[in-house]
Amino acid sequence: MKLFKENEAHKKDEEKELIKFLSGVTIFNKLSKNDLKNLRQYFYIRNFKADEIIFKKDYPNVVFYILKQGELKVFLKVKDNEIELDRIKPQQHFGEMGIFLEEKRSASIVAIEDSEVLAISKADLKNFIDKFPRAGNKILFKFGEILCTHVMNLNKKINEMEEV
Amino acid sequence: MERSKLVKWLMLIINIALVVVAILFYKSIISYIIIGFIFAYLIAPIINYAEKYRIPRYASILIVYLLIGFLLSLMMSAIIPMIVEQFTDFQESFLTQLQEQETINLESIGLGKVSEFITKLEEKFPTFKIEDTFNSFINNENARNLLNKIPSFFAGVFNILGFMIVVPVIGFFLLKDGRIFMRMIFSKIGNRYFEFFLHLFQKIEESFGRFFRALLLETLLVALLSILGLLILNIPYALILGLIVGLANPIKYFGPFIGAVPTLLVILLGPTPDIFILYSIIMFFIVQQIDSLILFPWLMGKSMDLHPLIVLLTVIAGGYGFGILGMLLAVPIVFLIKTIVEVSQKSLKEFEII
Repeated sequence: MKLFKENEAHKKDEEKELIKFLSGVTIFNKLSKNDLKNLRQYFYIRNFKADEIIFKKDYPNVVFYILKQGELKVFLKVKDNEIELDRIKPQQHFGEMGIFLEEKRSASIVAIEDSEVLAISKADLKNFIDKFPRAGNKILFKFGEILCTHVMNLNKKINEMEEV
Repeated sequence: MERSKLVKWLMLIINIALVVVAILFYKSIISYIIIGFIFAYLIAPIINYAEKYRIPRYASILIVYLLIGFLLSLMMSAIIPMIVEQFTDFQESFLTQLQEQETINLESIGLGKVSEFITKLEEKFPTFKIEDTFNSFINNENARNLLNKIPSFFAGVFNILGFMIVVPVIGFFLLKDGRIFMRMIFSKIGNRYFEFFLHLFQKIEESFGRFFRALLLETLLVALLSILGLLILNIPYALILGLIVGLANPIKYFGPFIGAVPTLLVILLGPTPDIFILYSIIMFFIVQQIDSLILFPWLMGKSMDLHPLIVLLTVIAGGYGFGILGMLLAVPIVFLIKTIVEVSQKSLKEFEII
């Protein structure tokens, strides 16, 4: 019985920690605690070992991920050569393109070390946004912000390249 | 290396054995669980909608339960006695007819003219034995047994108190903790197949769910229209007869005819003038037109893309295998299997599993 109770307490702590983690993720940082608790219900927790593939290029784009622990590598395979595009650090998210576009995965992702990842399906995220429009608005605005920043940075890069 | 493989296989065998044992153990309530699932599935949209307005799931479930309980008790006190009375009345009048005369033939159910016509026909074409076939069909033991079984079936369903308690309890937990169950199931799936199964599950949910809810709504609307039409024609037992028409309607092609038979029998055997057979056929025809021209395209749309020939064969096969219930369930089950096979084939390729 004692063991059972300890287990229960442990679970509660884990849930609290998870919600705290979610509130630290950029796209969710404006959500209220209640919203986060609701949103948490939609997340699956996945554990990947080092070198395990999370998804490959050209898979259907159906799940959106947030890295909780560990480190991931974004890469493309061109004629047996691996080109590393990016590294993903905790609190960063990936696979967001699928939420807005019906495209396939544009790159592959592999775990560099043992990693813990939060996964939410595209359909569930859309459901959440539909069901809680206020919270959904905040999330979508944050997405917009992030994507605009990306575009701005890319524009800057192009300008610099043209000047050179 | 060999050893770990052995352990893997052993674990798999133990797992399968556990599943089998679990099925055997829960065998007696498996129908409750299935009905509980369907029940939860039907109520889920309401609960999800209520969540939009920040009503906690358990509260909205309880509210819906109270509403259903209220409606049920209202029905129990007002409609059920009426249905039962109508039903027993209907059954008695039919059965007394069956019992008064040792055998019934076309003449005894008021189709003397038809009988004469058939006799003439048979004189001209001696190979025709229509009347014999009809008589042997209606005097068949099975037909009588079936008629006797219907009330006991209803009594069985309504009397089982356990059923009334267990199903809502299963429904409650499925609705409240559905996400937790989903997470539990998906946590058992390996990383390689996680995205695939999530994708598969949602695709199937999407297409079959739409189909199933549309079918239910169509049934309800056809039943309401038929009841309305029967009430306008002032045919006795309108409620139960309309309900039968609605319930038979999802049987493709044959349903409307099967559903109309009880009504026509009631008119033939009851005090209603026989000309009402024509009126009620016209009424059913109108209801069918409304169904096939407005309701079906509006509700089903393209959600069921099975070729008409396949639908027809499926219904017939279901009928041969499992009777009326088979006819009713064959198309949805075949559609479900088709959806699973199609979606999984596509997804398996997309995720490079095959």
